[in-house]
Amino acid sequence: MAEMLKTMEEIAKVNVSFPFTEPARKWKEQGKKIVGWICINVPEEVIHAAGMMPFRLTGGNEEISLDLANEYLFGGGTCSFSRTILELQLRGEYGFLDCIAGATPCEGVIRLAEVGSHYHNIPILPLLDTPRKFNDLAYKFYHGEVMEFKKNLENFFGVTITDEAIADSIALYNKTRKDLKKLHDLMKSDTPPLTGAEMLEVLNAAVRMPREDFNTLLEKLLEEIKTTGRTIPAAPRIMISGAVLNTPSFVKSVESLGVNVVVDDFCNGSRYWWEQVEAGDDPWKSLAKRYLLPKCSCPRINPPQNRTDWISQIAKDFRLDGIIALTMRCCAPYILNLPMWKTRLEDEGVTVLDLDIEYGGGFSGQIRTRIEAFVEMLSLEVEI
Amino acid sequence: MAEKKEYFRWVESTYVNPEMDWRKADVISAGIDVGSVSSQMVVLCDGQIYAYSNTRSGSSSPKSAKNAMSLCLKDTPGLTFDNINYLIGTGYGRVNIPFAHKAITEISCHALGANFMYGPTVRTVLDMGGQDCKTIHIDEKGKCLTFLMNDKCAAGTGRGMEVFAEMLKVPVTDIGDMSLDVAEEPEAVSSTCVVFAKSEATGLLKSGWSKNMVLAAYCKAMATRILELLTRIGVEKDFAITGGIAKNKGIVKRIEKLIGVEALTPKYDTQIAGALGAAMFANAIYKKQSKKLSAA
Repeated sequence: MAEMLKTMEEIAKVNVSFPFTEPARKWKEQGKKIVGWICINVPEEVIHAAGMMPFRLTGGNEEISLDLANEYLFGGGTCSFSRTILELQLRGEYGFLDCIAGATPCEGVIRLAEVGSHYHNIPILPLLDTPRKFNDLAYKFYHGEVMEFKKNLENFFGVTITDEAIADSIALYNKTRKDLKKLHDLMKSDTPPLTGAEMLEVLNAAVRMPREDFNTLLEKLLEEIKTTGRTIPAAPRIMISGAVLNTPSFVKSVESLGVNVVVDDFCNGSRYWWEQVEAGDDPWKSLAKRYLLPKCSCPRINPPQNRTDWISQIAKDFRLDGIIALTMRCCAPYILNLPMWKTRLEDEGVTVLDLDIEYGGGFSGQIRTRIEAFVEMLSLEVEI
Repeated sequence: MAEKKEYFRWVESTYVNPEMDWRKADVISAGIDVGSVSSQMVVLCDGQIYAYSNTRSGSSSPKSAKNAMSLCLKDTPGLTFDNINYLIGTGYGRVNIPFAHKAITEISCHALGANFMYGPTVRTVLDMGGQDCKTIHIDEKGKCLTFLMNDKCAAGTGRGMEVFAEMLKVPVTDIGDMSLDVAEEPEAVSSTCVVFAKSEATGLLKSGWSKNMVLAAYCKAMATRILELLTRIGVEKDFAITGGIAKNKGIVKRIEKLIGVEALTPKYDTQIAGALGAAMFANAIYKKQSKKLSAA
């Protein structure tokens, strides 16, 4: 087993008391505000430029029981990701948020956040309406949405967001993206510096603490990797694909079967850091363009070809042997999207496991058997 | 008091090849498959079937594995566990087999076992076990290329069949023939859940249906449910069925009719496929390891 990195311990510590993490607690103690956000089409830079700390709404480090959420919904047709957020809201664990900002990814996530707010009086700002395609009209429209979001934040908190402030915030967030890309480029090695479970700890911490502090941690991590030369032994290289995953324990269990998870395509993973905000005359226009995520869109966006090409590109860049494609029950966009790229990747020589699973994973008997069989397909080479 | 008849019981079996002498073998390998309903052990001498057992699973995986072993080695003159060079565990209880050198999933093992049992032309394997069903695409060497597995659920599996045998007081081994002995094929029972299907069947019996008709309706429901797994993966010829339900003609015939492809005729007990595959892996892995050792 590779030596534990000191910076990794610091990063893991951030996630321990989720949702009200230690850095979030310290931030609030200074009398400052926290804005919860749902969906990566929400431009975090705007929240940051307003002087608030953006905090992403997700589930925690482990799968939780959804008693309150299920009671409220009578087990209705919503995904376990949105039910997990609702559960945490109903338990009052998100009570430290001053307001919630959302875009329009899918109905479940956003409507359930509204329900949670209804019970716990966390105000929701008007949603950013995200177009479902990319063209000039869509960019123009989303620019309008971003400007309205700015105004809503300003009015809600009684602050002004200057053009200088937004430019600074963009630079800060671009630095995160650049360094996360650097870190992932190192994962392209046969013997990557981090396990997939550790990478998920990093990605989780990114959206649960002040960004300046996270960037410092990330720089420290890159430096420590360089000086220690830390590596994980070579093993078949896989990606875990899907909507969203926040439980490092699931990734750890997968890796314990003898594979390295070297990349992901989650909206809290690659899709979060892949695209930079390009410099332009107007920072607001640049923001609007970037936050439509033209290169690595989620399956709610048309055409699906973009996503297929992107996944195929990842498979080549990271020299993947296999992909575990997670689909959550009731998550229509991902369930319907999977067949579109699965056969293409299989044709390109990548083994794909279609795994229907609830948010957070679990590793019960049958799920384990399926993942184990998948690993055997990649690594059980014997002459019969 | 008369002994209570147990309708769910199926025939437990053992086999020893009388023409083989295990003492002459270079490599003795074994596989044990501990499933939720049944357990098997297969012993290979230089890759050929020497002995096997097929028995009901007990209350714990280690116990089931031990049962399968003592049954398998009962009539093998002088052969004990110590003579076995390599043993692999598979099935639901694979990680709880105390004397196994390694565990491999039942998916990889059924793929390889089917390749041995039915030959290199098999491309699609349907395993119908006690607790779940899986469809597997394999290549000419018996390597798993893709697979699908149903949710953990008794419907469409051996356990569901046993429940029906008890309810209708019909020996489980008669169900297939009885279900085919109907004047007209009935509609399938509408529920895929064993619990609901049971109450639906009770209603049908009360309304005057014969046992045969109820069984036909249940077998049809099982076949239809399995059809989903087969159409999703795509049936490529040759097509073979493994597991306990492969012995139920009522299900097999209905599946063949639904997909328009006939399954290959089994030459071995279909329940040993998993243990057989495990024993073949054991043989190959042991040989690979000894080669490495002698090279070093």
